[in-house]
Amino acid sequence: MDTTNLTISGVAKKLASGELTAVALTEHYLAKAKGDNLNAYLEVFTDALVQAKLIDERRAKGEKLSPLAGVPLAIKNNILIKGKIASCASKILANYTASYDAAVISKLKEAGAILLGRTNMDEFAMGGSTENSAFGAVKNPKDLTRVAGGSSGGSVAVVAADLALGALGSDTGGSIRQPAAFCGVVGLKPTYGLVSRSGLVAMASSLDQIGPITKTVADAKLLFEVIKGVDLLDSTTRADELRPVSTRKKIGVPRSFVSEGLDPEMAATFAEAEKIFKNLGYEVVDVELPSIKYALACYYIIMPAEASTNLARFDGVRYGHHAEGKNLLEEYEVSRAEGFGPEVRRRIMLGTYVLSAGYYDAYYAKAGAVREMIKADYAKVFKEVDAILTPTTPGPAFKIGEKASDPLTMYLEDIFTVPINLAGVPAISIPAGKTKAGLPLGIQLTGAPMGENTLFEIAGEFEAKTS
Amino acid sequence: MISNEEVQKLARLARLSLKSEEEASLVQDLNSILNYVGELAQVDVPALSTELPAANVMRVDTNPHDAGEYTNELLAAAPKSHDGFVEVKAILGDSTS
Repeated sequence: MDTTNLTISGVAKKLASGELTAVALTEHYLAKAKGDNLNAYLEVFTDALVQAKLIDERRAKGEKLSPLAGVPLAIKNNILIKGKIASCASKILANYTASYDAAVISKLKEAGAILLGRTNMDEFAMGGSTENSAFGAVKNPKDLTRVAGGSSGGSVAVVAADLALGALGSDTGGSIRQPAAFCGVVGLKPTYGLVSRSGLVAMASSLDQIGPITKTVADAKLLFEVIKGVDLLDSTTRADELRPVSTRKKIGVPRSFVSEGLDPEMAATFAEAEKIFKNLGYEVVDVELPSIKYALACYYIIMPAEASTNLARFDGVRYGHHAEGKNLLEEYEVSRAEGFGPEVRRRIMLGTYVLSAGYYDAYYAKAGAVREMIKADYAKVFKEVDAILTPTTPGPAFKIGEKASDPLTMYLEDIFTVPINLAGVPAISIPAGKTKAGLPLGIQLTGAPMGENTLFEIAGEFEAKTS
Repeated sequence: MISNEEVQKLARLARLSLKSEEEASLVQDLNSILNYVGELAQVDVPALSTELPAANVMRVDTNPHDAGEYTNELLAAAPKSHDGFVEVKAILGDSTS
């Protein structure tokens, strides 16, 4: 069976018609997943076949099933699946078994999706290359010497290499979209509050959002519609209706923001993308987001502040890695020092600093105020345009090890993706071309809050024209 | 600029023991990041509105689960437990620790 060009939507039809069984499909993907040479899977679930068999039986009885029924998906390992290890690619949780399902997992199980395995990631989702995993870096399927991106590098690599039909990731500052761009697949960061984070190991709670990683825009929409929805266990979820597709056919480009620091091939691909949108009948206009230049600085205050607070729960007492010490305090200190990797320790220290007495106002409070300015910039622009177009990343995937020694260089990779999380708006990264060396490049479309349907529409038109 | 002493103090607050070689690189990394994020000091922010758009959302406090329903499952995750409790070192009675 060759599934390289199969999509979730395509497979759903074959499963419904009986051309394909869930068992055959799952066996095929289990075999592929076990041959993973990318270090993308942390574990492949052999019990997936039991689920597949049940789906085939239900279908044989004539039950009406969701399009996801029998579809093998991979799950980032910071999303809890009851009875499975949720390590967050950290030593501190290496043996932690989840005692309940995340809300999104309950929804996937309800829809009959087959959970194929848990995927590698930057430790606690902190990073942009998956090099911060305690279990080794994920390789880019298009070039094994390069990073897959991160932090959802494993989830993205398995979709790009067809080791699963789709995957879930989490996105705090670009962790779905940046690897999607690096590996040539589609990744969506939904509007803040549309997808429950119950059962997602928290990194920065005002920014985290779970989203789909797929081969096509239509698949991203399908998966998004299954996982979204209000949840009493995540008080930030909202029941609001999605906005209807906006029909102004107008796309904004923050010209000064996208004119600096781009790899020449990315710049050319971006110019080409603008042309394609014009040919599709869109008016492409320059827009101003004056405060966006502060987004990265703002993010690298708010994110570590929240992360240092969220990660205080890992104390070696209730779960996770435990080290002996002469008293309880020392046990905390040593358990945490041994369990957390360097980037996580760095962000905990940074977060502790910006929240500490004497610095709170200068850093955290200031960043909160700047964040409101950034949000206001977006709100103003969305009065005029349907979507904002930028590159997803400044350039293609970099070499493994190339940026690992300087945290700040790595952080600058997030320049186009972090403003979206600060503003709480949705954004989708879609493939837009390749470098001469064959490395994927992505563009990002950002929408108004609850504007996912407009993004699917515009991204879908671009995809149809370019693929 | 952040000093070695400050890094030691932060590590204490964050409950992280530091190796001495890590301390030097942390001082350097934190200073480089703080230097970058420090650009926010130059931004003039408008006076913040007191009417925050966000509001607290509380779950209705009702239908509690039975006491002990999840105890065994949760304790199974604890590195050390004893007679239905999580076990830790004594925190009272030893002022030197």
